[in-house]
Amino acid sequence: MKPGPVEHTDEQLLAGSVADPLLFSVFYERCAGPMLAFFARRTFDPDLAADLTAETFAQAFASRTRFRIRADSSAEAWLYTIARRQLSRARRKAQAETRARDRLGVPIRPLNASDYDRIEALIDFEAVGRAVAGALSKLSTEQQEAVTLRVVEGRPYADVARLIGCSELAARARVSRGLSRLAGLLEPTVGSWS
Amino acid sequence: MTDDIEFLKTLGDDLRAVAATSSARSHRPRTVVVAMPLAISVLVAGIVVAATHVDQGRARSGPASHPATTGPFVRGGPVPPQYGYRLTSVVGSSPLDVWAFGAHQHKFQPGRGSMSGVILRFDGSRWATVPHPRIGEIRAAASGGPDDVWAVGDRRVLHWDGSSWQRTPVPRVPGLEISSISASGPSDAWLVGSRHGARLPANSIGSHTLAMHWDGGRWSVVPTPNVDHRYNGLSSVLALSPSDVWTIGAAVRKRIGFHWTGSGWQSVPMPSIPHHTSSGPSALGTDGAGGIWAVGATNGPGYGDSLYFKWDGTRWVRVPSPHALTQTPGPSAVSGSDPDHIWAVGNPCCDRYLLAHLVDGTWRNVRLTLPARVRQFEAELGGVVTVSANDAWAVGYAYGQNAGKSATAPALAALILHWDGQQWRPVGVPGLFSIGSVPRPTK
Repeated sequence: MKPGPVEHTDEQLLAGSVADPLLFSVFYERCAGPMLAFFARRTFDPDLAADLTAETFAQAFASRTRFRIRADSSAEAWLYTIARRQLSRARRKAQAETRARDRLGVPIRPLNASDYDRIEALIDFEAVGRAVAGALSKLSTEQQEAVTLRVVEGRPYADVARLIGCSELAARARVSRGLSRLAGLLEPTVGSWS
Repeated sequence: MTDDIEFLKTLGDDLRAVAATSSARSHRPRTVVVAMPLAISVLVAGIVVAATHVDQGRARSGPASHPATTGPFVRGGPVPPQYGYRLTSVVGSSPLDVWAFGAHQHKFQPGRGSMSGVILRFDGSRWATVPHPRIGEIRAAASGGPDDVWAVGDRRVLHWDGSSWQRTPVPRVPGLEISSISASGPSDAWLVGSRHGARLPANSIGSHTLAMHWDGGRWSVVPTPNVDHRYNGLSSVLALSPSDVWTIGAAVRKRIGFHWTGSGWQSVPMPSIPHHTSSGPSALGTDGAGGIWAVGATNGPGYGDSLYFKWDGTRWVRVPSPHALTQTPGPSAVSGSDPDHIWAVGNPCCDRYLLAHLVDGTWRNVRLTLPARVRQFEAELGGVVTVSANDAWAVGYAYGQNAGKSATAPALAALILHWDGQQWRPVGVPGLFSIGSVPRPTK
């Protein structure tokens, strides 16, 4: 969102929030929606996306004194640096951190069912589906088949191996290579974890 | 696109509250004093005698700068916004055995987090805190009798055996979240909720329903149905007897309900609410005579409607709500001592406090009249128990923001209301930052 003529820029809000913390709320109002969508599209998990959004803003608030206005500094870029760090940590631990919220005393809140639906709507499954289908078609035929059997259809490796006609070990390797290739192909479209 | 997401609004409020505290902290620290309007002092005289203040260690450090007996209900600052008490549930088996539960929100402490459970007991004359094993915010409670009381917080379950609170181990379930507990007797209690995370069966993300049963000796998981491969959760349980247990919850775009008949869960169709597919009742309560009620709210964009449903023996029947459409509607608890004396309480509503009374089959709004200085608080009631026609308790918290002219930060005060058959009155708790407490003596 571009600031109007009388509005503060994001940078002014963030820098100003050191002296007047309530300015952070204005910054939050501007960035919260897009941030939630950012996480939703990368985690595909509304609960986790909400949790990460909360932790990111809590951490941004806690460390707002470290943001400095310079000619080239962007408050948004600074915020998304925190967001990406949260995302990669969540990837490793399968859950969002609560450290900043605990420190500030921000309560951990669950999602209600309607929010769940609304956040899921942000994900745009259709676009994800198209991207995945597109990326899948770029794999080798063997990898495509292995990934489809294992990941899309959810069959055990023994099944995958039997259906492809190879050893279980080879099936595992094929799925794993296919998935890493898939991740590489999807990264620019769908976003990545790190 | 994200404007309707309640989570973002709440997070915004939470952050603003934290920011307000930071602003206040940069000013000169002052003592927080809980003052009580004279009218209430008189009402509760003889019940509450102790003075109290927020977050004791912190509040005591500043010099008292305001006389406590005049001015706004809560004076001075800074009171960190999340500091204070919130009560979530109240249960009782007799007029001399009533329990209230909730949380003390405090500064983060390693190993304790920022919320600790609070357990209060009313012995017929006064409320007092009761020692208990360490637990986080207590979100649900149940009473099967004077020697059989349950409290649930985080992933822990505490039990009162008549003389002390003890932890009861629950099976390890990854991503466990307990939302409700109910007991029909010492060897029959149920808790429900959901389990989140990746370790779900194939093709599942989100969460699954979860129920556990207490047989008198231990908790064990009892499989529950799921209707969606993504989000499923149970929000409330009501155990009337070992073969008559009800639970309700939500899945993506639908409400779900199950009935335990002693051997398995049977699906109970939940009424659909036009234009509000994922809304519905979220809390169950008994009318004291085997009848059951389900209450909740629609949470549509912009406004919502309060929901009251009665089980007529074969299906849920919607009963008209007495409340206007509002931003934050909805009764969150319902309890009756007999079919003619049922109370429902909930979020701040049209009348700031939501209290509804069933009179001759019709729900009626009850306006709570409090002195003006108390009314400047926003309040939310989370639990209610109706012991008899002239004995009911409702608990929640009051949230005061910018009380008075000075830049005071908000604080949470425990709120306990008692119905004596004529009116609701706030009752304070000694040693706890609560509405209805008496003033701290000023020097």
